[in-house]
Amino acid sequence: MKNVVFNDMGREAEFKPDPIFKKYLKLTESDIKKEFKYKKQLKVSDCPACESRKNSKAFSKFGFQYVECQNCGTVYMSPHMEDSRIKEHFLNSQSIRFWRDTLSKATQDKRKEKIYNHRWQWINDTVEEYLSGDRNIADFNSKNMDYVIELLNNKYFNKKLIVNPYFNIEDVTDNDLKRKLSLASDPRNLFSNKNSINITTLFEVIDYTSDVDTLMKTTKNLLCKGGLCFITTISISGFDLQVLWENSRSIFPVDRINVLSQKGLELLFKRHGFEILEFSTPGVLDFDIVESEFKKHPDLPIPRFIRTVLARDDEQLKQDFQNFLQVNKLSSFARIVLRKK
Amino acid sequence: MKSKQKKLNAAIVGYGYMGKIRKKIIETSSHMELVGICDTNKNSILADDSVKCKIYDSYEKLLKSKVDIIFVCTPNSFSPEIVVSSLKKGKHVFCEKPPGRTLDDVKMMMAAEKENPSLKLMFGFNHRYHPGILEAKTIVDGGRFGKILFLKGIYGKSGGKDYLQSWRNRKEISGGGILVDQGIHMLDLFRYFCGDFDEIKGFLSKMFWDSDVEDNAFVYLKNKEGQVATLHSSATLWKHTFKLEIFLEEAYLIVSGLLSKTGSYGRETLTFGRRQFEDESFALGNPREEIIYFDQDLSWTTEVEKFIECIFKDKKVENSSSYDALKVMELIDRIYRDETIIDGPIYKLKGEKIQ
Repeated sequence: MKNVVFNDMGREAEFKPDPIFKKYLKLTESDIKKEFKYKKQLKVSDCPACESRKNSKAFSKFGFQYVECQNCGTVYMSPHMEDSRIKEHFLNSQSIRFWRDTLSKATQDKRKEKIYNHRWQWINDTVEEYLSGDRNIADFNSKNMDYVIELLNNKYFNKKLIVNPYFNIEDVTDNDLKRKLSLASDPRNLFSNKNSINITTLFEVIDYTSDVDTLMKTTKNLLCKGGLCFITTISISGFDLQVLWENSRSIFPVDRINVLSQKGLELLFKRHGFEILEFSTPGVLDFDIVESEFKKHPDLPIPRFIRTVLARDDEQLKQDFQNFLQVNKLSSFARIVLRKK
Repeated sequence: MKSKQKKLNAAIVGYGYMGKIRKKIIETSSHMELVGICDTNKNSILADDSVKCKIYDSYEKLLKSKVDIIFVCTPNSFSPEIVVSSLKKGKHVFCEKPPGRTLDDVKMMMAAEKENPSLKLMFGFNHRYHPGILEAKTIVDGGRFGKILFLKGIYGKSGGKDYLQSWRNRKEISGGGILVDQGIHMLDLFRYFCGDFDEIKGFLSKMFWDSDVEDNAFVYLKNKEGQVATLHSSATLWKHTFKLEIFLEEAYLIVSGLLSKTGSYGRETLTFGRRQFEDESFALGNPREEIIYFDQDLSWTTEVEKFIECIFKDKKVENSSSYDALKVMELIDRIYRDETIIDGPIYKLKGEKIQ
């Protein structure tokens, strides 16, 4: 299994500029409270990673309970909402409109440079290594229209299938692109594409999917033998989430209802019969996230050792620390490549 | 390979460091059964409680038994004769590197191989199957980053306190020093990536160890494509080091460290960087690098599995073949024949100058 490490650093503010992101969180909280006030509609679930029923209370966010799996350490929302309701939130809520109209636009260039470009490079490099012939890709449950537009414009892939998008297709204004769009609105109707797809992508999708098991089954069924599945997600085993825990601004419903541990992720993929080719945590933001939260809230319960490191305010130390996290798979951003056996 | 296939009877000749490694590989293989171990020092086998198979003190006796594959793990001076005898007795042979002491040794083994075309002969160049090398090879062969411009290899160890007593450093047994012992792997990798080299310059030295073989080799190679490779093979690198740098037209790759039993060569990594030119004004010459860490060395097993596959499917041995052995020994032969000994002081172990 490969573990890939990068030598660059990032700043959280580049992707989540403070005043805008704060507003987004506030709107999300209001949406969530409005949309999910009927708690009877919520469903108690087992661990999405290892299916264990044993858990303990972790913390609550926006009034919703997160629990920690006693077996694999995964943190997940339980009880939680159904996928149809989550999709509805991503399609029509005011917070998501704000995300698309304001936050996404403000950070568009940085996202393209530091997220999408690296993503394409990652996929291209891996595909060149493991696959031959046509490159047919299916992207699952994306809530990010910008990314899907990037995908549709990408000439590297022969066939592009957008499965069950969590945004309004009508919002894609470019008609030429719309014509290129091969859409499967309902993932249950994918039989015509079975075995023709050799690449699937789940970018931060596990994080907001209530039925992870079905998601993995559908992905696997669609892929041909030897096909690759690219996944990005955040993992609770990572540094900033472990240090900040309930104070982390990265965990909140519905964007992050599942925050799997590394053990949980490995169990999930093995349970579904995938071979793990790469498991890396090439995150560049952990240290910066903890540092900026600590600067904003000096009374945060942060371990003394971390306070000491932060107090040094040494750029080289920060870089070395982040590099240490990557090398030892301790960053919270995980990227994974699976191969269907 | 089908696991239902009949198991092949395997035996080991030479029960030293490599013999013990081979025993584990055979025992964990689903395609082989260990039926015999031979060593002139029978007691070394008897002292090992894990040995459950038949023990021999002469390989001739072993060759009379029902064995399909012989793993030759003896010192260099003995291996050619055992390889030839085994082939003549109708056995497939897997022989450790180096393939004997001289070019003539390889030619002798190849002649026996030619006389027995149904049998397979492979040499142990397991570095080709290290994960960092496999990854680098895939990237290079993909062709997206242009052709290789040059290779730089450093492979070395510190010699160790038994250096002077080891058969590896007695010319009549080993045929040479650090170059034929360890440097041969790097030369093999150079060929693996760039094919054959026709121009060679080398410096051999006896800088530190008071032995009749070289403790350092500095080698420059060039092929018809204009690709250049440089090797430093050393028994005076006080920190165990493996590093292969591959510079392509559009990128560079650095394989560093080797996954090994002791971990003394460091974590095995592959660093990958893309060339940056005018379009990266702020980071010129310091590109964003990707470092791949590997956690499992399957090189020994993979290599032997490939050998077994050649036997089962009656396929020609393409990797680590006798031809590869011949070509790498040709390089070593030329370096030894053209050697320029660096005149330098020779020190005893404690640093006392003796010459």
